[in-house]
Amino acid sequence: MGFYFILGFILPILIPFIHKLGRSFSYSLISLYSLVFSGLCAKTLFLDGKYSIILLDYAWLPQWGLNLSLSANGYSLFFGFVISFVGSFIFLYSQSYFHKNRNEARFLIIMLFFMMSMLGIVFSNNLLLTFFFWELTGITSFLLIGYSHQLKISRENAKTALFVTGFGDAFFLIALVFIYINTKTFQIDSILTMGLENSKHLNLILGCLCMAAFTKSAQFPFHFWLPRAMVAPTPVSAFLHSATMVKAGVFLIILFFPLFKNEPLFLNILIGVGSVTAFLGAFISVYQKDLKRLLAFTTISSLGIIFVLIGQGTELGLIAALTYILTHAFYKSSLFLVVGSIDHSMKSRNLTELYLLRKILPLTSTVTFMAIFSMIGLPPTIGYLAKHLLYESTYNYSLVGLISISIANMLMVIAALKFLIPFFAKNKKTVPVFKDKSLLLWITPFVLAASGIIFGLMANSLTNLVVSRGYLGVTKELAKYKLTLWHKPDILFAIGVCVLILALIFYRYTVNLSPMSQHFIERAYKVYQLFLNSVLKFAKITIDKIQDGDYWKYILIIFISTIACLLPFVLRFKVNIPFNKEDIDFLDLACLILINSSCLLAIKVQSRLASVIAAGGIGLGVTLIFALYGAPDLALTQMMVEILTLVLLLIAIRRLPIFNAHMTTFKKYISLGVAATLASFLALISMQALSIKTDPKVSQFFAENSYLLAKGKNIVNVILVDFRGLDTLGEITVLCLAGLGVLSLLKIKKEKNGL
Amino acid sequence: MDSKIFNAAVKLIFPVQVVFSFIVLLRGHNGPGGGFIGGLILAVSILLRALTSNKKKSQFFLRPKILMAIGLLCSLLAGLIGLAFNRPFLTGIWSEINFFGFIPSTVFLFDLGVYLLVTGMVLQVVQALEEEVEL
Repeated sequence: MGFYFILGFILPILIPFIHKLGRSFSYSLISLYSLVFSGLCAKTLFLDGKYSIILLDYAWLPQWGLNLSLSANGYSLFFGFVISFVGSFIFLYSQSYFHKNRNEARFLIIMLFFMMSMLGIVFSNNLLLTFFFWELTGITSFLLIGYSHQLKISRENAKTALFVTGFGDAFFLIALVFIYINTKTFQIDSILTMGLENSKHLNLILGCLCMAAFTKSAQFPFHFWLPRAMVAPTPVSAFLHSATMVKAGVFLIILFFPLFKNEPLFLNILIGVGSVTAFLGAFISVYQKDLKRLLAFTTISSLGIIFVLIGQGTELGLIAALTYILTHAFYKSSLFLVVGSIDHSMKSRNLTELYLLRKILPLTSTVTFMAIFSMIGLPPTIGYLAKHLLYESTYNYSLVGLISISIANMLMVIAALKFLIPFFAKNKKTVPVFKDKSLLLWITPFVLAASGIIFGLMANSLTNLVVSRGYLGVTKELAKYKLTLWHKPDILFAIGVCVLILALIFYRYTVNLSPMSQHFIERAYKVYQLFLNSVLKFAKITIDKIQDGDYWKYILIIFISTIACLLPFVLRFKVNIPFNKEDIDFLDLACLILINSSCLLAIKVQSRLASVIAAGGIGLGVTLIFALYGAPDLALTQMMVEILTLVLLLIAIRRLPIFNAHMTTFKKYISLGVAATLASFLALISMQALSIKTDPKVSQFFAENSYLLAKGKNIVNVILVDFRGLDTLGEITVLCLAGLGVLSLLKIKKEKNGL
Repeated sequence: MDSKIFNAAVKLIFPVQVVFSFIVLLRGHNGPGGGFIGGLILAVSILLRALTSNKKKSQFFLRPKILMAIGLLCSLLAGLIGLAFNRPFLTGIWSEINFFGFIPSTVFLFDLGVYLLVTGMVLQVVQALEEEVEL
């Protein structure tokens, strides 16, 4: 399974080639890959009662404690199954959703990378590795949300998601560092067995983990990025906001549940933030007209509910949370896909514009009803199971909690009912229908919705097993609670019925609500925007002040600050000038004269061309010195660089304005003074350098081993390509990037000129 | 460029320069030379050729960006071959063949990568600048 996992990272690289073989082939292949992955997860989950299996253990960067260490326990398999199962059908769906376009390969690559990084978070047994994958999900989700990058709103919203989740990532990093300080390891299983009870930093660590989870899982007040992320193509939303991205935060908190369990303060924070989010998300969703945004807000609400369940810190709470995660993944992904299908056929997602979908899209409607049943919590779906557990757990925890959860639930049921409006509404305006007959557009959400029902019907066996193995993985204790679908009618059942009835009553008042609560939910976004704008404004002001385009000033500042830095060292020098009349020979003098006269010429001449050539003279003088003092490699390189610089400058000169070297006398004297000071400093430093004895061992090592170990007689070259090859690799990479940077900078200018 | 002498000279010298740059690359391991210098020489020679040709934009036989990519991949591959032999990344692996004193090795592959990348990089910058000048 470990190698199968690695395969998932190789596959994206091959996609461009696979995609050329056939469009549906590449989609099906990836879908099959994820389906097999989920099968492997399920198999391991069912067969193996052990709570931890090592999948892969490779010391990647052992000095830093980073190991490529993957392990599977019940909990990670549970999540891995959900992710890859849902992912598999979403890949299949995308094949019909996207019309043929040339960006499909890009979509597949990023989407697969995203899924693999998500699975990486889940299976990683090394906290650094988790963080690595965590960041990777952030970046890939940014690319996915901004998939339609030609639209400004798409780019903006992708950026919002990246910044908000990135803000949380910083907290994750802090938590990670402090965990390491306290436990001296990054291995998650050791951290959990060691525990952090006696650590001074426990509050800091847990707080930071909470922040990381809240931003990633779109909890209040960081919820605003999620509805904005709806600009993404529907399959992306279906994947990111049902089973993956937003669940990463939940995953993290449950992973560290054993640490949270005995900390009432943080459990209360989880409950507090969770309930506020659950209520707000559900409340706002009722106001939405856009089906996709409606689903987005209910997602926020569901995530809040999951946090509340975790925050209860009990066995039942955790089991209920796991069941809820499973439920939500199934119904939310299939509902998102349904919205995509509706959008595909009707070219609209507005629930006031759509009508009688029940008749127009009968198959899609069936799927919708199945999923909505799960969302509302009607038997025999898994939604009923989850809702029942939710009430039971909260009932045992606190009565106030139960009331607030019930209200949130009621609002969510109203939202679900509103989702059904387009299926029954009578014809108001005619919307053109582009009926899409593609089978995949309904069969994939159908499978997901049907899974919800299957998991509901098999509550005693299948779901119970999956959830209790998940529980075992988290706490390393066997779950005592047994799931069952059919309960005796008790108070909880009554509560459930009451919520449904209340929802039906209040529903009629919400039908005509328009999204007027916009300004209210925008508050958090406004703060975010204000912050971002002020940062940009500050940057602009400083840049305008510092970089005003006066090169004379730039150079002056650079030189003066260099002088200031060097001054304390230069003052301490004890220079004895190693001057010997016999040492000077004719060639040295020639170099001296060549360089100095070129310098004078470069200053004096009144044309750019002449000064460039004079500067070339300086370079040649330096080349000569290198050649004379036994550095032929350096001399050669210097000469080539001189020639290239000359040619480049000659090309550039044609663009430059007329030469105007006029300088006020005052400026001239200042320049002279600064230049003279710096030059004398540098001269002093070079002389000082001569008197310092370096350790001969280093050069001796290279001289001795260059031929023996690296089979080369040119030591310089051997150092470059062999002994310090990694440095060279780094350097040429930088060179490459610099070249691309020049290209893009010039391109920007070109586009500006073109406009 | 209008100078006939210059044009004719460049036409003559160009092939020699290309060969010379390659020789510099090859001899780099034992004498002065190497990928960086060789690359610069090649770049200068192509540049001179481009300056003399009458085409508006200097056309190169390969797009510089591709050249850079190939170069970087060569160097990376040279490092990975070491890994494949179960040695640390970038370990030099030498073949048994001796071709008139030249022994193919990953070290040479690495240097070849540098050679191509440097050429590509210089040409890239020049091309970009030239295009800008055209505007």
